[in-house]
Amino acid sequence: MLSIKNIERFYKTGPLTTWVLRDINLKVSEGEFVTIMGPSGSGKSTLLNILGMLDQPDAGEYLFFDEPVHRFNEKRRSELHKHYIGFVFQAYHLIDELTVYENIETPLLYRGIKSAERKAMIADVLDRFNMVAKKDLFPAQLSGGQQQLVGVARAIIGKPKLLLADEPTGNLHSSQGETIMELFAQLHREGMTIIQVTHNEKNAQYGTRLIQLEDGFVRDDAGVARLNV
Amino acid sequence: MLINYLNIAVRQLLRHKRFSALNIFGMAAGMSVCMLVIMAVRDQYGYDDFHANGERIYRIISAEADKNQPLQKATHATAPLSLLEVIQDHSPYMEAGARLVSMGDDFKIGERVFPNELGGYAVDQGFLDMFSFGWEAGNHSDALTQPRSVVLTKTTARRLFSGSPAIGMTVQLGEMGDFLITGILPDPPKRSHIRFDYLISYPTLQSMSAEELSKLGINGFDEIWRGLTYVLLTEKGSRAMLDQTLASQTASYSVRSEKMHYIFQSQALMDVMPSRDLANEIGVGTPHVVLYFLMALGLVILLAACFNYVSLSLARSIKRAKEIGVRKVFGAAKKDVVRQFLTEAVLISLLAFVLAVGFLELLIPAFYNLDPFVSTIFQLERSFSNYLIFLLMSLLVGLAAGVFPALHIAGFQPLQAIQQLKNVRLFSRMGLRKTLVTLQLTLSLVFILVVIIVLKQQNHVLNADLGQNIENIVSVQLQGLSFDKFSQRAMQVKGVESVSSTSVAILAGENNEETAIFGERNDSMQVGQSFISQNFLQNMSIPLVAGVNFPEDNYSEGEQFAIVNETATRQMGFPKPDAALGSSIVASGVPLSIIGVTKDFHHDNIWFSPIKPFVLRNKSERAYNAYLRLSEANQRETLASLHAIWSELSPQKNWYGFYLEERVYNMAKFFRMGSSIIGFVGFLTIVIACLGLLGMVVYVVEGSVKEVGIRKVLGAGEARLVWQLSKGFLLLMCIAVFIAVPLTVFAADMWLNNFLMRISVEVEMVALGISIVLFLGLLTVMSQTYWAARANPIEAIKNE
Repeated sequence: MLSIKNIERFYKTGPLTTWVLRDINLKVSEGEFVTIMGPSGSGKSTLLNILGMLDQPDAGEYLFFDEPVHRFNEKRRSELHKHYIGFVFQAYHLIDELTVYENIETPLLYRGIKSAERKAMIADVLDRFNMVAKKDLFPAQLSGGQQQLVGVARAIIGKPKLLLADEPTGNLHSSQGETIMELFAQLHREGMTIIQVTHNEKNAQYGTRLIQLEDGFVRDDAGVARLNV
Repeated sequence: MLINYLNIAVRQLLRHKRFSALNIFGMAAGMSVCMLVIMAVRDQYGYDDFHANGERIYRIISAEADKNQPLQKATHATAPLSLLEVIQDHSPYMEAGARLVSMGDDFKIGERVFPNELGGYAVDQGFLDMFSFGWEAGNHSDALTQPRSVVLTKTTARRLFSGSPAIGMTVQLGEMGDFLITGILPDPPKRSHIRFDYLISYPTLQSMSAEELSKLGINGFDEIWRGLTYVLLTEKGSRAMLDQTLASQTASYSVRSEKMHYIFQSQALMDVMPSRDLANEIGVGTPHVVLYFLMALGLVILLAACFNYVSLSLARSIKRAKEIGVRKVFGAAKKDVVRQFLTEAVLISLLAFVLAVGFLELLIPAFYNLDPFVSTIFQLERSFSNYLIFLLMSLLVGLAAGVFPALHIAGFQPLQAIQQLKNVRLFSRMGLRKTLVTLQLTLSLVFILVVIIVLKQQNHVLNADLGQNIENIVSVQLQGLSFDKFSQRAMQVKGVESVSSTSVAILAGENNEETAIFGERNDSMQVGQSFISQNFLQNMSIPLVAGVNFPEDNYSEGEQFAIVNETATRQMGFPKPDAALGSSIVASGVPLSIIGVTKDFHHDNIWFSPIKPFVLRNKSERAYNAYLRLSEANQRETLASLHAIWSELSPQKNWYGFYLEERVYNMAKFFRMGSSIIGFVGFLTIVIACLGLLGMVVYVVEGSVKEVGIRKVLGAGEARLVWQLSKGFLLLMCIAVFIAVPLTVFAADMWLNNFLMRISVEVEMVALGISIVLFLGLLTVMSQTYWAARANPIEAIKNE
């Protein structure tokens, strides 16, 4: 599905070069549930953002469905991003002025989907997430777990091939976090490719593959089963 | 999609009420002024658009000059009365033509007199054929073909005959005798440069003797002063053909005249108004320059309002960054974000439109009240088309104001926008907002300085030494009444100190130019000339610098003496005024000996016309105007008594008396109107600039609530905090001063050069202007910073 070769990312402040990612090579196939772990500052989020095309590497290649993303301009990148990738944030990042319904609707609007079809799709998702009664509430009127549910709903409404999640349970109570992770596991079973960044080892259990980053390098890349040994 | 945009825009507006109010109010203030300008300008450009054949009608304008002087373009709205027949003979492409000679005489029906109240023209039958003034009754096709025919407007007919049928009746028109009423017209529309109460047939003039014509001011049909000429071309005719004929007539008139040469040109009917500053213009309207100036003002104030919007929107965009970031992550392209923010801008501009239409209702009366002169010129119309234009303007303003913030915001990188909400490119945006606020402050300062300079200049001219004392002088037009008769009676009135006469109403806008010949080589010069009574100089307190006044009895041996002003003696080449005494000067053909020299005194328009050589002569039969000096007390009673004397001596004529000082003041009506309008617009610009400033300060303060809180906890005093928060404004103010002051002073200096008596721009005027803007700006800034500095620091820190 996607592969990156020799990806590097760094910041220059005066004479100093701060490396964030160094020589990352990675291949992800369709249907995988990948967890990226590592200490703070190891470059997990940056890697996720590069995979999600929100950030560009300073060097290296990125092929997404065999398309050379690193050579695309912003417009083509965002076109690709719009159709194939869904995003879940740690801080939910719902639009405060929009209701639950409208927040979920946003990605569909930008894809130009017709009103009737939109309604049907949103009704489906609301139903599945048990949020029909809350559809006209604003984010400020919801608990954190509910907000993140909306965040996930918004991310998957467009049926993306790849779901990226940056510490999706980081701001939640454990029980709320479990709900979200169950949801991810279910989406995975339905065939969605998921890449998540997390600190939480329990969350990693839901995945099929674990990548450990340290100081910008990949330290370890293995199946989840090995961790359990 | 649009619904989604509107939805979020409305929620944003409701949620941030202060921001919305500032934005909408500022934009509405700018728009309402622009609306007023559009109304005024459309009014002035809407003249004469009701004539069905208007596009084919041209006026012939002209100029004449001595053969040795150059002549480039027509300067007079009038043309020789003989010209129309000549060009009609030469041109198959002319459908109709008409001359207009203004008439103003008393109407008499039986014993009832309507003195001087009605104005009209002697016109050819072609007038009715070419113009579309409409027709009420009578035979339209030959109403004005016979001598002694008159056509009345509906209102005139009603006034003269109070409703009973007028056609076929006769009226007596002053000394011209009886006229047969052959038709009734509707009243001419307000926006016609040709206005009249009646029209008499041009053949009436052709049937008159030279002497009778001379009484009407027509001294030969080749003179360019007296009549206007209009032609209607056939559908196939072109302006080029007309111009060609006019060029050939220009040549043939110049060949025929010994001394003068001429120029004749065509002027399209639609170009007559707004007026082109031609002499003898009959239409009353704002000169072009004034309209351009108004439009520029409208544009400037609209720009100021747009700057406000840009500045406030950018301030807001920091808070909107997260939303934009999220939208972009979920698929919004740049163009989607641009559209969203343009939608918001247009929504705000539409709300501002509604408010502006309300403001406009307050502005219109204020505009009329600026100067009594305004309402005679402008008829502001609340027409559908005007409001349609306002609406379009509002949409355009919304788009124009919105496009920059929209592009800027759409350029946010989603990741940065989401992650670093607090400081996304905060710095560069602050730079832009600072620039905008500085621009607004600069504009405000320019306006204030202009107002100060204009008012100073106005006072300077009005308080200038005119070389005479015009206070308490009342001028009375005698209109044929004997001066001796009037002055005898007037001198008996309590409160009249002295009565003198002058043929030319000095300082009241009249002018009589003559050629004077002097010296051994018979040099000539153009001089102003007036015939005055012996006591005139004394009455007006015009001092003599050499020689003596006219003797009491100057007539026994015919006219002998002249008194000239200093400028005249200088032009005649005398080193000192005394040297001119006794030398001879031939004024309009009469040889005279110079008996006295006056100190220079103003005699023409004190704003723009310099003091010219002036010759005063003493001849009682030319006493056309009485200049009376009243004593300070009870002038109202004195005037009432004079009025009563007038009604008794001259019952058929209206009293035309006025204070000379008032007349001098009124000569500057455009000037006064202009300065009121600048003041008005300047005020609004400052209000808008302060709103912009307020917007910026609100956000700076909101952004630094935490900083202020920490500083307070660390022990900073309130005064220090206010200073900390306000000092940025002072820097912007300094920059505004550096831009505005040199610019305004330079421009004002050029403008002041147009005046005869000018002030120079002084430091205290500039200082006053700066203080006003500084004061208002500081007031705005302090109102917010003081509040921030007073706030409880714990709250501030906790909130963050």
